[in-house]
Amino acid sequence: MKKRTIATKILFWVFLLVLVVQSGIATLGYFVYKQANDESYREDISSILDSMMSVYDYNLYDKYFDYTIKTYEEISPTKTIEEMGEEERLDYFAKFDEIGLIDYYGELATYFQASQIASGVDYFRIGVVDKSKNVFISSFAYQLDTDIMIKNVGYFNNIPQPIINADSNNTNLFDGVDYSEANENFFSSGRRFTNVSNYEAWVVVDIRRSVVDKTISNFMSLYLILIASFTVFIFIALYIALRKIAINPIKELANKANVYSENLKNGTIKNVFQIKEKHPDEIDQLNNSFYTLDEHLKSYVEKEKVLVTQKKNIQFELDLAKKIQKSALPQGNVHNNKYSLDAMMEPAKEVGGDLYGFEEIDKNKIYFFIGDVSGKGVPAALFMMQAKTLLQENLLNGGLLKAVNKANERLGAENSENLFLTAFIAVFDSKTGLLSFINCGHEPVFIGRNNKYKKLPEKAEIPLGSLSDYEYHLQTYQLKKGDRLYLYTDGVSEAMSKKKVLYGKEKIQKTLTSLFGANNEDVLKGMYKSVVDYSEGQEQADDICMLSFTYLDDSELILNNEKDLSLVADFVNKRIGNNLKKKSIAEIKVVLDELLTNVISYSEEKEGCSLLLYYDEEKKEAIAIITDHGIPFDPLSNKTVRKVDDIGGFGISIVKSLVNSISYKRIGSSNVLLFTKKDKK
Amino acid sequence: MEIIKTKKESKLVVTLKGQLDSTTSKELETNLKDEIGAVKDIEFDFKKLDYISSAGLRLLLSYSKTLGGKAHIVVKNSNDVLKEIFKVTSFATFATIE
Repeated sequence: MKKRTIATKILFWVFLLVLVVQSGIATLGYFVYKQANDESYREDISSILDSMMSVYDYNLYDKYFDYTIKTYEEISPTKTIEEMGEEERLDYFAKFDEIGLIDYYGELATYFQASQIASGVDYFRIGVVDKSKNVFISSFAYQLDTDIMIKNVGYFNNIPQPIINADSNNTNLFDGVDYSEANENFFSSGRRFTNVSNYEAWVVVDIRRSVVDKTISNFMSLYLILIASFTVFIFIALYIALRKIAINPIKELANKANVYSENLKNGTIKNVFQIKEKHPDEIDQLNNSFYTLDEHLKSYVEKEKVLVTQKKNIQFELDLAKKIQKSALPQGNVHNNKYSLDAMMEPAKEVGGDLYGFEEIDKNKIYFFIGDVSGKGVPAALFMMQAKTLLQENLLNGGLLKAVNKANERLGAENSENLFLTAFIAVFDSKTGLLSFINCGHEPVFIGRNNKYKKLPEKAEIPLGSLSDYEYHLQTYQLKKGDRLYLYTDGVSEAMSKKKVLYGKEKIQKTLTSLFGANNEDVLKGMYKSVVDYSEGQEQADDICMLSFTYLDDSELILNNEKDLSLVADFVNKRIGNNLKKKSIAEIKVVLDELLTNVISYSEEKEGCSLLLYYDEEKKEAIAIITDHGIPFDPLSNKTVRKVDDIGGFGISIVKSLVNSISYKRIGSSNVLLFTKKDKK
Repeated sequence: MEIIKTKKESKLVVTLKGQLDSTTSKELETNLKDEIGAVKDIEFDFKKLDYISSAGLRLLLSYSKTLGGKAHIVVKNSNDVLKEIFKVTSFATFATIE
């Protein structure tokens, strides 16, 4: 962008204005001066004529006048001088000479010459006119600049227009008149000497118009030079004044503002503006406003600095609190030959109130719980820590119901902010498989059985801490070996998609069912991934906390190497030997032999695999799940074209022809093969 | 698994009880290793065999090849499970199923 200073802009307009005004003045001046100048010349000419008239020798003139008329009448030419031939003209002139006119001219010429030199006029003319024909009969002129006496006698047409127009009763023929003759412009005055019948004699003084105007042009040049000088002077003065009054102060202010904004950017606090109190003009007022702004900002920045430091400290402490909170939850998992448990907690950005806990009470029993404190932030976190400690202590020392009632009493009593905790708290007895639990207003729990998850039948009661003298009720549910439990907080069920749709319990059930057969860790990872994918990269709004529990039993056979394959037949007999016809059982054994051989010999990890076998009473079918943790391997995708020479390839066709359904899934780090088998009708 | 072997001239009759799967087929292979080279024909009595897996089939196939084909290997008294597996695998190509 092209820069234009204020000075340039103002001076441009001043220039325009001065130009217009000066042009006006010059035009006006020209006309006024011209008039005065013309008047002065007219007066000069008049006075010359008047003095001529006064000092004139009338005898001489009358003589001339008489001669001229006499001669003219004698000759009575019929042609003008211009029309005459050379001889005729010379003859004509000679006749005038005869009457002695020429001598007379000589006399007159001397006189004119003297007057003319004295007055500086260009022409003197003296002439006699025959008014009846409007022609000269004699003309006599002296031209000063060429020093030529022009003598004309005879018969001319070109009488100057002012003479033709003149009033014959007035001595002053004309006074200060412009007229042209022979392509020259004259400023003239004329006087009549005398008139006899139709003859007139007169004298005319001419000044060339250019001579008159020269004075004007001289004046105008001088005048324009004056104006120009004056304008330049005004310009310079104005510019200096503008610089001093406005431009420099504004520049200074702008520079200061730049320095100031730089300072702000660098966080330097420095006084840049000084207050101006002595007769402040608008710019000073602006400066003073900046000064005030500076003062305000300075105190604001100081405050902000303190705030930022405080905020940093608080954030640091909150992060620390979050770490402490997370570390206060039991880490790792529980895995023994009766049950296994795994839990995870992914806190949202700020400290929150989700919690879980588990601990083995004795050889057979384990407690576990999951909970969510109302609200978020520090209050929720504090309440959560208290609740966690209370639950843990009481669950270890006394029964479930007693523990929950006690914790509720304490939480309700020491609760000025009316916070509360929803929680699902359970104790599992591996000896009997009985799950005792209390649902304190928490989300439902899902139970996985027979290849699918369903809601655990239960009744929710009020949240912990909401009513300190409330008596909870113990609920129980008989778990079967192989059952799984999935506990979660609303960070899962209320995760939101971009379109603001909740994840919801139906999707939890569906996703869990798709994960059936995977171990606890993979169930949690799978669920977490599903929730995160669902949220489509949005920031996690709430803590995500979940817990997966599996009641292990002999429904699971662990096969570590090929030798363990010999255990499969007995395992099948034991698990489902009485549920299906002998033929079906034999076929299941064949299928298992094929699949397990495959898994054990192809699995690179050589970690072995696990086999789960159920009988679904409702559908009257056996379900077998083979899980291993090797590299992803789908035996069903192998080519199953029968090759005559390779009976090994028969394995999969045998499997496919003997089962009712079979599927392969990769869940987390697990390969999960599942097939079902019914009796043939 | 129980293996009962009877030799009739150049023919070996093998009666199996239990199941012929990846584990037991190895057992059987070891057991018959010496006899196979010495006989012309072999006859399997599967009356008391519950089922057979592809590991067992593979073994039978190798015997079929060793002895010179279908004519030299006979399978008798197969139950439904076995029959179905033989059908699925077209095992009749390699053995005479009676």
